[in-house]
Order: sequence, then structure tokens, then C-alpha cells
Amino acid sequence: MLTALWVLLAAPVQALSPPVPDAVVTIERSHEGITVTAHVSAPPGEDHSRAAAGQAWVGVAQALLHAGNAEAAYAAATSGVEELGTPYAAVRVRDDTGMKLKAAAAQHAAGEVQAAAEVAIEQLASRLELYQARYAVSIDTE
Amino acid sequence: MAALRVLLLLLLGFGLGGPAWACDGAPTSSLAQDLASVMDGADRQKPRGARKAEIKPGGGELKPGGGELKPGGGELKPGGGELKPKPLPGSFRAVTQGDTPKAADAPKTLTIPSALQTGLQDSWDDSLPKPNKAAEHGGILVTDGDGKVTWRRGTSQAAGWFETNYDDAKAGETILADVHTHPYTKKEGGFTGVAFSGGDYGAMLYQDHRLSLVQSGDTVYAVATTSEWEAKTSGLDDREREDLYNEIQATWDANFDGSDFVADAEHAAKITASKYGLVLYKGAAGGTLKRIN
Repeated sequence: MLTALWVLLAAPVQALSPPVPDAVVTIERSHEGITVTAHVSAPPGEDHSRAAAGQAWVGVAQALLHAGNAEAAYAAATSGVEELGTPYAAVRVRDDTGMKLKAAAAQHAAGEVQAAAEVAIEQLASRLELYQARYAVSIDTE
Repeated sequence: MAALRVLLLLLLGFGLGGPAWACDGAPTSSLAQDLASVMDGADRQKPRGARKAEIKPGGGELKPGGGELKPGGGELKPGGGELKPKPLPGSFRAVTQGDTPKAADAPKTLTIPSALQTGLQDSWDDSLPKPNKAAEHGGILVTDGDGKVTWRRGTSQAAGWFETNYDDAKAGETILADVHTHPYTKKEGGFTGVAFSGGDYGAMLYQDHRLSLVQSGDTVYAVATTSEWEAKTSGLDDREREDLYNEIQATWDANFDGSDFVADAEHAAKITASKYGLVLYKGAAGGTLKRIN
């Protein structure tokens, strides 16, 4: 009887308890004089620092590309791909981003560095979108 | 009196001839309704007598008085046969339905149903909407309990991936195949004829149907599972499945040289397919595919 009463009283208290705030992880990455900081918000106990690193690399690569340094931008995007790693996509996704990155590498090898950098950045950003969808986390840059 | 008899005969003739005259008009729209009802999975009806309707075997359009039959749907047999869904090609049935064949027993050629050909081409036609914009498109082919097949288009979200619209299969329907495209802009090399990626094969670990297709330019690839694939993939837990996904991806990557993007992608797709018990087909869009591994 007392147990039943306790269950009845405890349930609303649990329902009203405030949600645990997300933990924010901050990561900074630099290349060729460009530094970008990225944050990832996720439930405490989950490690999504690789996603924050990937996002920071996107920022670095975009800034370098904007500054006209396509070679460094391509290198930064490639670093982001490596650091993000796998997995990042939901299982039902037909993921061809790896093929696109190979196409970027082919362009780079052919001397089409600007195109290679643009494609690599797009695909890294695409993988980060997939990551956010898969893990329901929020990633942004300063 | 004779004039009266002539008038009587004319009246009788008009009365008897009424329906025959009507066959040139109203019944055609009725026929279209009959056909449409079959397309919707409604009761099958025998077509009445000699109606003027154009029949195009092979799934062409039939437009009597404005009705429309989509490819891959029902077929009206000349001479008044029953209306029924067009049967799927035998090779297509062999790789999508019934017992899963061994790799050695899988068909050497694969005929694609017209509804799926339409879905492939429509998906490809939308895959390069601008000179420097690629968007993977695709969808699913489903069948209901009566053998009717329907193409359902998904939603494109990115240049480098496609999330298959499995949820578009309705209750009572079975997915027969999924489709997506491999578009490459000029910036991405402008490649066509790009075969399945390691990620494409990996995604097959998480699907119940047995056939996947990809169109890239005028080239279509299809990959079908076999009993060998099922033996390798059944009973895996989540961790083991993810490990196998990564192994498949690594196998594909290890066999991609990169010196000739399109040829190397096909080489990697063939080697990886053979290693994991998948059969790979290739052919021109709209035509019969030939097995290449």
C-alpha cells in the first residue's frame, strides 16, 4: 500500500524534474594562419568532439578557399574528413560521399585544385549534416 | 402502308443500333474507367465486346477517350481477355521474389520492368539540375498482393547521398527494388557510368529487399543478393553488422586504384560484389542488363 502510494507520488515529481542540459564541447583547428573554433552540443556523457573538429575544419577550409588558397583549403578539408571518421550516416542512407571525395582527389591530381577543394568541402559538410541527423546533435562555429 | 413499314423498321433499327452507336462514344470512357479501376487494384472486369481501343503491348499508354494506363500496370488482351497486371519479367522475379538463388544460379541477364525503367530515367533526368549542381535522386518499386507494381519516387537531399524512401511502401506492399543515381558535375569530374560505391553495398545490410539499382548517365547497374550473401549477413547483431559495413567499404576502397575513375569504380564494385555474394549487372538505360561478375 505504501509502495503504491510512493509510486503515485513519485511519478509526477520525476515528470517535473528539469531536463539535463546538453554539454558543450569546444574544438579549435588551425591551418595556414586560419583558426576556427567549433562547438557541439550533446547530452552529457556522449563524445562528439570529432564532429566539432570536422566542423572547425570546414570553417578553416572555407576561409582558405575564400582567401584564394585552394591548395591549403583542400588539405584542410581532407584533415576534416580524416578527423570526423566513421560512422556518421544513418544506416538507410546510400552514402556516396566517399566516391565524391575520390572524385575530388582525381581533380586534385589533375591540377584542378580549386574544384577539388570545393568538392571536398561540400562533401565534408554533407557528412556533418548526416552526423547531426544520425546522432541528433547540434554543431556550429564561432 | 409500305411507308409505315419502312418507318417502323427504321425505328426498330435505331433502337437496336443505339448501343452500337454508343460504343463509339460513351463506352470508351467506361472502358477507361474499367482500366483505371484495375490499376487501382479494384475488381477485375471483362471488357465488353468489340471496343475501339489502342493496345500497346509492353506497357505503352492506352488512351481511349482520355483514359490513361501507366507503363508497368495492367494490360488489356486483344479479343476480350481478362484485365490483369502485366507479369514481371522472369529474370526480375528470379532476383526479387521466391527463393534467393545461389550466385552461380542467378540469371545471366536481367530485364527491368517498364515502371522501374521509367523511375530510373526520371530520377536521372533530375540529377543534374544545373551545370554545377548534382542531386542524387531515386525511389522504390513496390508490389501489392495482386501483383500490381508501383514506382514511388523519393526526395533528393544531397549531391553525395540518398536516403531511400522505404517508408513510402504502404501496408500490404512489398519493396522489390530501390533506385538511386550517381550524378557528377563538371567540377566533380563530369563522370557518367559510375558503378555502386562501397557505401551502397553496405546499405544493403540494412534492407530486406534483394535488388538495388543505380543510374549514372546512360548506364544502369543492378546488384542482387544471393544465398551466399544471406549466409554472410543473417543473424548479425548491430555491432557485427557495422563491422561488416566497414569491411565492405574497405574492400571497395582497396580495389579502387584511382587512375581511371569510372573504370576503377566498376572494378572495385565487381571485386567487392563477388567477395560478398552479390551479383552485379550492367547495361544501357532502357535495355536488358548483363551480369558482369
